[in-house]
Amino acid sequence: MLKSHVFKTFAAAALIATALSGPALAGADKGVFRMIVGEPRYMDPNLATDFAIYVNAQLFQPLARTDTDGNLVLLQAKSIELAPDGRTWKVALNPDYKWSNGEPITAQDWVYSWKRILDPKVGSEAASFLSDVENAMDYNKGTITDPEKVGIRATGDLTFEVVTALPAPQFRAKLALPYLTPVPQKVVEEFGEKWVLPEHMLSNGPYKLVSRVNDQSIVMEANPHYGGKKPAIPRIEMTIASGDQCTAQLRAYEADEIDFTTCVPSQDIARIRKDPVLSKELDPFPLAATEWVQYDMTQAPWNDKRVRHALALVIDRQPIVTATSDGTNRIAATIIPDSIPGGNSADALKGTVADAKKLLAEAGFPDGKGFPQFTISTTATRERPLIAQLLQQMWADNLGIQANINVLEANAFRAWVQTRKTEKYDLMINGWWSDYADPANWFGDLITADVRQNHFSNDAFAEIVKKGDAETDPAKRAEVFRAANKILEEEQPMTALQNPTDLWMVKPDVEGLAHEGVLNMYHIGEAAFK
Amino acid sequence: MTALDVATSDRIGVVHGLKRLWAFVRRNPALAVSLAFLLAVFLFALLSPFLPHDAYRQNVLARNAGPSLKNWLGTDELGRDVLARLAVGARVSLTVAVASTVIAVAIGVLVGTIAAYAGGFIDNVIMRFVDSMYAFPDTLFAILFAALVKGQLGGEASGLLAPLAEAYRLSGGLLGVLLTLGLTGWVTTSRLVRAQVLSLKHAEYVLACRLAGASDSFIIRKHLLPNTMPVILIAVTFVVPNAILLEAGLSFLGVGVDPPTPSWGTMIATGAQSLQSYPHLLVAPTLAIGLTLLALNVVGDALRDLLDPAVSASRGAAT
Amino acid sequence: MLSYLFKRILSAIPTLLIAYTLVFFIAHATPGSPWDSGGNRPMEPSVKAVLDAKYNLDKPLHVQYASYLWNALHGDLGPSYRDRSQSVNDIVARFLPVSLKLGAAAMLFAILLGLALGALAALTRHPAVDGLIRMLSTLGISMPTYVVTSILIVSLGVGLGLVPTFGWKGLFTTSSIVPVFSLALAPLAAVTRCFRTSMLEVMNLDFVRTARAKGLKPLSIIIHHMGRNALIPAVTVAGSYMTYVLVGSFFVESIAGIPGFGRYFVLAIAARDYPVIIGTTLIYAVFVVVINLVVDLLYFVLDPRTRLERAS
Repeated sequence: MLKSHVFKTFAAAALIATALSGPALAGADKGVFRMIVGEPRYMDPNLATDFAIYVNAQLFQPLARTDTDGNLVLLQAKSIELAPDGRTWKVALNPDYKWSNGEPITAQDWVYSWKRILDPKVGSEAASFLSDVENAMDYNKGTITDPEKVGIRATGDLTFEVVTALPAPQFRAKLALPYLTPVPQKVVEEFGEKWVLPEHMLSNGPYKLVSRVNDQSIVMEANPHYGGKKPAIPRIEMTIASGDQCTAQLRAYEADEIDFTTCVPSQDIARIRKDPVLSKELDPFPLAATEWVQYDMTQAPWNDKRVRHALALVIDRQPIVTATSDGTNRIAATIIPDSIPGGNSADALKGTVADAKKLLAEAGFPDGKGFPQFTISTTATRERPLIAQLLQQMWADNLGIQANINVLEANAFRAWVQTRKTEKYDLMINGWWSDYADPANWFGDLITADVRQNHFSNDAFAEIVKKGDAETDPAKRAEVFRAANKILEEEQPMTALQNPTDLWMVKPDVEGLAHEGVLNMYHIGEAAFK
Repeated sequence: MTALDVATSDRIGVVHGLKRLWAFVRRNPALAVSLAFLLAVFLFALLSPFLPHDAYRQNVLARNAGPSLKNWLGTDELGRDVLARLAVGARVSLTVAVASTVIAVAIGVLVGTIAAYAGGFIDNVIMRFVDSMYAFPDTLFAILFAALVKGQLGGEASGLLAPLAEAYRLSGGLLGVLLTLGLTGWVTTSRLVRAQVLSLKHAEYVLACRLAGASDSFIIRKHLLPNTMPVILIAVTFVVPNAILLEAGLSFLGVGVDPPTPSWGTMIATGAQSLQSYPHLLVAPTLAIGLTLLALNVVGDALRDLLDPAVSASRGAAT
Repeated sequence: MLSYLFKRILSAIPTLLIAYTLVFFIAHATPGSPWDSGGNRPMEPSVKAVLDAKYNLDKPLHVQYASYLWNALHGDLGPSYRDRSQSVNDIVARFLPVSLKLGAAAMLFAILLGLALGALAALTRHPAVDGLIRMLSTLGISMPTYVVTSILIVSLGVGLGLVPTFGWKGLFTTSSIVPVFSLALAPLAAVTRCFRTSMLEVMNLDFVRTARAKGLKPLSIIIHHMGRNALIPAVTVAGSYMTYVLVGSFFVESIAGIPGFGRYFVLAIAARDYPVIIGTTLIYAVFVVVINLVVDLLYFVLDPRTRLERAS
């Protein structure tokens, strides 16, 4: 009797619940492009250097783009010329491009934006991309305080010039970077940090910001005043995911809730590749990026080249790419990818496991006896902990040496890496992704500036890199940097492991969503629904 | 020996409790099964070195395989035998649970006894501190604390922290989880112990001891603590399952034990990531944790019923 | 009773202060900086210094401690370092309501169903039904929430397409089914177990047996005589889960993509967004204190004996 009462209540509740719920999934509205992204740290294009640039790239556009042959394809600029002195870049803007409220984009806006990137009070992470510009780094570091001294000047309403301290051929590629986009000076000066709110923001790209609910959603609509080809897709709805975005994206993609995903979780890659339908929607892109394990060059036994060679020669990279990406990543035996001028996989170390054992014995550790226990440090994100475990077993099996693994949470790892400037460590797993396709980004920004605290210094290497920096002819440049590459691989301060491959999945009714540039940008304004 | 007899006596000796437990078990099949299961898990963990496969041996070509004759529960993302990892994981998770419970209960007993015995201002201060610990979401506090511990002890540490960092390295990252769980789990125990000691403080025999000239420490050692044992046991039945769940949660978030050490938590984390492609990786550790916690809760329930005189009185009257 | 209330509120002040101190120092002691992003290159030290100065992170810790406390007491919980166009107050206003709605729905579901199942288990004449309910409820508090959430999303969302796999469209849409159920599971199990136990205890008490002997119908006995007494422990249990549920479970919110308070809190920890971490902890602590107070007041109402105790 009590039971029947209970049952009746349940039945009623269930009926009510069903009635209240709407349809489980909204059918795909063919005017709306749906995707899931992580929360962008900044919607301000002058400030962002992490994955926020992909979201901002729909709203803001740089002067030009680099095509696969390395030539500049002009966008917001009508022309970009390098003066005979090799240091002055003259830019003429295309007047067809306007801000999303119809107002013209002036050279003053561009100059203001780039100086703003360098302004130490703004604290932009993109400042180092303008390091070639005259007085830029001095201004950014606070050595000089007058922004007028920085080599960026407007020469007319629609023209401006940029002067580099020394002739810098790599600056051409930097002009096409998504970090160097303009912001509307009047709006930024009036609203300060709140200029990024949808009611204030003006954008110069194919889309404008219609609404943004932090950590929840971003909605964009076509920019009516965009000077280029009008986007075929009128509206973009992005839902924000935190934490594991790859898993959230794949689940939503398979449930037909989004049209596009930018990554596939590593444990699902094999299933997708075998699936008759999904495998056709997989769209891989080899990145100009490398993951490696590096040694603290100031510590024993890592300062002994024989030890580094021994460790490097016993690594079997195939299980690494298999375990982390079902083989979609590519084996890398050299740090600089082949696609970067100066890189060449022929420079890789050659030798067998027997050679490695001999080297280790020569270094004073026959069969690993007496070799100290050491720690491999890595970040918890991506598949790095898997790599550490694989290396640990390879070294134990082949050389008899014992490694411990220390996995640090992402933010703590970044802090830990920076403190390695003065603190010691043994090994760490790290990586680098090409910002632009020029050897300066690798030989200079990564290795010479030692942002990963590798503590590698070699006079011959430094000499050659300096020579290469000054060389303007691209073919000769590649040759010079190749010589540096040979030294780098012989010294082996880092042992390359793999070149990651980005895995996109795109619904079959979307066409024209291409991979653009070294950074693998996507431009929804150039795509369309069939 | 009826329930009524026990309820009227002031002391519940441990031996008494065990005898009654045995009688209780015989009448309660769920309890019997749970105890047997826990014993089986304990043996499983103990015998892990004797299993045919090594929990650490990688074999990437055979990764993510489903259950087969060779690997009874399949292989994980690096080709390691899931059954072997489950066994070592049992060891790790149970060690962490027991050790952190010992730490948590020890601190809780200390704090609770001091607060209750000292009374007055000290009691007030300590209880405000305990309340503020309650005011923290314990999972979130554990995350902050775990990140802190890992950050300070993982990698190179200098000065005072160096021996701790060494211990951390030797334990394969377990020390971090232990400290986190121990330092966040003492709160329940302290409250229970304090309540018990407060009620005992005013009991007649304690008063008699005092009048006879016994010192505080003597009273605490000889009378208060032994009579608090039931409450401590009750606290343990709450803390242990919570510790297991919390360790799994920390490992799931990546601030638990370091690889390649398996724990049920890290296995669940991998399993959750592989849910759509290799569900077998989630089934084994989830069942392991679920059933173990189920068994622990059944035993805990029974223990609490046994030790709480009010409940056993009504049960005695009812039968 | 008023003096009791006053004393409780007064004692909440040191509690909150201690909670604030704890979270402040632990957050600042965790290595890592709010300014480093996941980009290729670390921030220039000079730029970091400028940002630190702008947000007073270069001042000695005790100065920061005092100034944040002062501002917080005036209602200003600070800016978010992670998103400099928002303040913590904005964030709380935006995300707390979602967690509250979700939590309230979960709690209501848990309490109603828990009371029903607990009563069913206690009163049923079939020991199998009782055993099944006990087993399921014990299992309910033994399952990690993230496992339950993941399984439900994959089976109901990806597999059957009945619910969206991600996102929050509102409480009365299908997007709330998985999170509400996942959140409700543990308190549901706890309330079921607790109510069943207390019903069993009360059932055997003298006055109930008398009522039965007199011939009163079981339902009216339950409601008039047993209900109140049996409810007290259930209220305790519900209260202890209330904060966990109301302020958002990080796991459920993260996996199901609910833009709620719990998820935001852990994001702030990963980003070392100190004002958000400290501000949300304070709010959470206030919640706990308030809910404990409400639970105690409910005791007052439900149990006349406590009133007598207080009065003496």
